[in-house]
Amino acid sequence: MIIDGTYAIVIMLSIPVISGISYFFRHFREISIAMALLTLFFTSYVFLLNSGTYSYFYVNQINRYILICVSSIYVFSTIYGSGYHRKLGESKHLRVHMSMMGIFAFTMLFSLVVNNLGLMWIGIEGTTASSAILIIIEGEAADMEAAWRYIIIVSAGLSIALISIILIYRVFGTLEITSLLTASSQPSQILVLAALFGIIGFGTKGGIFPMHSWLPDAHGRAPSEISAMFSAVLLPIAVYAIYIIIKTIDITLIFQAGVFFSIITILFVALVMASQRDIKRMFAYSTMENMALILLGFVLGGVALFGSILIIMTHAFAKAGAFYSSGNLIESFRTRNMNGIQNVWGEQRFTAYTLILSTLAVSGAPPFGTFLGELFILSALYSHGLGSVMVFLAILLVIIFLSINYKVLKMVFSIAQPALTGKISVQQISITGAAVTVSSIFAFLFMVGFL
Amino acid sequence: MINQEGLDLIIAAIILSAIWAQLGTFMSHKVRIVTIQSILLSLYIIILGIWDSDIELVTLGILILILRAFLTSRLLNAKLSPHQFVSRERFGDASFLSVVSILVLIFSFVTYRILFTPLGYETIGDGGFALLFQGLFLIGSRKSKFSQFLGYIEEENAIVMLGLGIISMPLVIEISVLLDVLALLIVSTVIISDKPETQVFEEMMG
Repeated sequence: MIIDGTYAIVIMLSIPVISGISYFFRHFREISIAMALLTLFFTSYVFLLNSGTYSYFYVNQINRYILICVSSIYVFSTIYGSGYHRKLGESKHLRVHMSMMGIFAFTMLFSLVVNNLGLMWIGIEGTTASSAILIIIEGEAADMEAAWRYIIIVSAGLSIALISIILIYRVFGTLEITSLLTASSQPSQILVLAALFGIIGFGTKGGIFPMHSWLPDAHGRAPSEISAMFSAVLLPIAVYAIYIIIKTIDITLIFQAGVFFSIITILFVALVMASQRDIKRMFAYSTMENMALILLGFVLGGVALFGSILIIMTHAFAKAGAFYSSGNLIESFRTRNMNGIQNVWGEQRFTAYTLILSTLAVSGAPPFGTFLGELFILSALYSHGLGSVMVFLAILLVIIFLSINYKVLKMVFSIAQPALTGKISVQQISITGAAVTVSSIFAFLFMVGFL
Repeated sequence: MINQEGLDLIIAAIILSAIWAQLGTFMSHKVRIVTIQSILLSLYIIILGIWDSDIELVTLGILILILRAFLTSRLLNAKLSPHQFVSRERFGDASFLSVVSILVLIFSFVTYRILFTPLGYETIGDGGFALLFQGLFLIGSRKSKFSQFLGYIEEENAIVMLGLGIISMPLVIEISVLLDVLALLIVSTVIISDKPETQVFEEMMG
């Protein structure tokens, strides 16, 4: 390797922070995009590092994939955002927005690579402070309310996660993740408490039922490029934190609790999906489904763990594509209500393609990676002797698939012709297409043995 | 040698301040009550640090005094409009809320004894657990964003107490948590100052 691993990680973390200075320059958009691309370059370098510790940091077979997703979506969102918010010109609001995107990316990357559970918690809490500002760029009352709910619910949830970390420190005497993952302990009441607090606490940020209520509001009201960052990469980081706790506290109850919370989250989504009217809230609920599946794969381990990684990768780009497509439609039709978005096929052919493909990808249609990931998780459930749970989960997944695809196809192919009032930029179209294209290659990469 | 009963008294005062914050109606008073709570907590930690000759605890106590007691109250007070200073907070039946908060307190004491018995009993841990529930109750029972944020500050104070009762975390983690909460506070004040009460939007239903 040309650069030492530790230096590469430090540089990877520093660039998005430095991009914050773009605020002071006239070409702040270009600087932000360039910095995001540079971050992606160094993240790719970190991706190629061997698994292990690098000073205060840690790279393993899971976080390296999420790192790549974070940096890629960071690049996509800065480019998309520069087009989506073009009407704001060189306003202070947009400068703050672009700068804070860098800080937000830093907190996510830091949470992933730091080799300390306490500092990981701090990084995840830091994502809340940095991303709340990103929701309120348009300054509408509903945006403010969504940002407030996001802050107060997620922070309260993460406080519970901090109790879990205190209990883990009490039992193991360390918060170093590499030490925790190799440490052994006897099952005890304290570890059971730590596990439950950890799942509920980090599950709040990860959109796991019943502490998910901030998620549809924040995703629904945030600008589309921020919804994409939330859904595609922020939530998987919180679920990754749960994975660390699951691996640390390897007891039967955490397995049962993980399966229970995952299934009940997917059940909740199956119940509410059909009644959604707001396009972005619909995709937010779809994110809950995907996060629950990822958690389930982490809990089951083995082939299901690989299924989770496949879902993380595919979901990141596909859901980003879905939110970018939604943003394009909201800008064109001036409404979030799906009843008001009609005949997309006739009016915006390209967005119709990206919307259909991204929806198929996130809802688990073959041959997308999500479909393969779901198959791996279902088969792992069966091999764990949970055949009835597998059948129940499969039914729920079909219900969600039908609900979300019916709504999208209705928007795309309905015959009414409402007048379009807004135009979308080239950046928006190209990034939406790029995200959807990338999302479709993971199943192929798996089949040729690259993953 | 310090009298343990004296330290326990400080914890009792912290719990009382939480009940007081539940029942207070003037926002400026509430900010002051939570400031007093943070001062009491920092006092407890500093005394404990001096007693145990633990420089990390003393540092933590001083940082809580500066960041949470002083800076937090300054920031919140600065964001309170003159109207909010003198207006009463609108919430449901005060007598009902006081009964519920006492019930929540009893519930938290009992739960702590059941759940945390294997760790041995610590008054500060018990107090922290009770404060955690009071903070959550304050968040859940109020429409005012100021009250909700004060509930969150109470919750963070509770985590510090719970941590002291279970095991002291490394100082670097404690400091980072304090700074994190401060950052969150700054962001929150921006949002709070726009509309001080939570609202219901039709597009955010379902």
